[in-house]
Amino acid sequence: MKQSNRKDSFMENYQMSRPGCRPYIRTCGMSCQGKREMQGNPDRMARPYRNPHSQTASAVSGSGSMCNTPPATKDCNCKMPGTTGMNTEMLSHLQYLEPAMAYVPCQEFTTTFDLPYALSVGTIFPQLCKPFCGKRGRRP
Amino acid sequence: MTNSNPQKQLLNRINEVSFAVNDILLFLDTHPCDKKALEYYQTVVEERRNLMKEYARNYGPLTVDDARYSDGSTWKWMEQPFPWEKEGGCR
Repeated sequence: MKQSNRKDSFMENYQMSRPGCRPYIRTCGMSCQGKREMQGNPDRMARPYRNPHSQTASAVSGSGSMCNTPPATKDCNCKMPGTTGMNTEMLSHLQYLEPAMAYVPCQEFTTTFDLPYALSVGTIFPQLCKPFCGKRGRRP
Repeated sequence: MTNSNPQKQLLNRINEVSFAVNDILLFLDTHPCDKKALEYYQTVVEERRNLMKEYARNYGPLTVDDARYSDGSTWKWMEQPFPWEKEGGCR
């Protein structure tokens, strides 16, 4: 079969917000500026998971980072007292997050690789080029 | 990848640019208002369009959309080997 006959399949598979599909979540889910609620009908607008019984978790994982909104990490007020450095700050959120939920920070468009290199490493984005070689992060 | 065969070189560049188109497409799915990303999309999709046209003119069409850029006197679609074949086609 010739490749071209299905050349648009990538795009077709990425139709989102179609009727009958699960709502497309257009937020980071990690924004801390966002005690702000999303506008609109809550049944139609997807929102990050939050535990209705936990006020703390609600404040930490509030919604609010829509398109054009700066990512949460820029002016995040969730910094825990006594934490220094990126790694510890990142980990300081852990106790407020729900277990068994995955959190992925927003990606920003910065630079791109040269295209031959991009194809060989599988991404055009340097931010996403993470060759996990099993060398770091091993337990001693 | 280095290759002295100009047809393979062109096909390789098409693969690289097409990959960039697909990757920026994924980014735009989640960042539909990002101006830099939209500009990047325009750049790579334009380059892809030109390369596909160039390939069709010189070696035969890769997609049916490009078939019109090949020599119009005969139908070239089945005359060339598919890109992954070293030889073949109904020649």
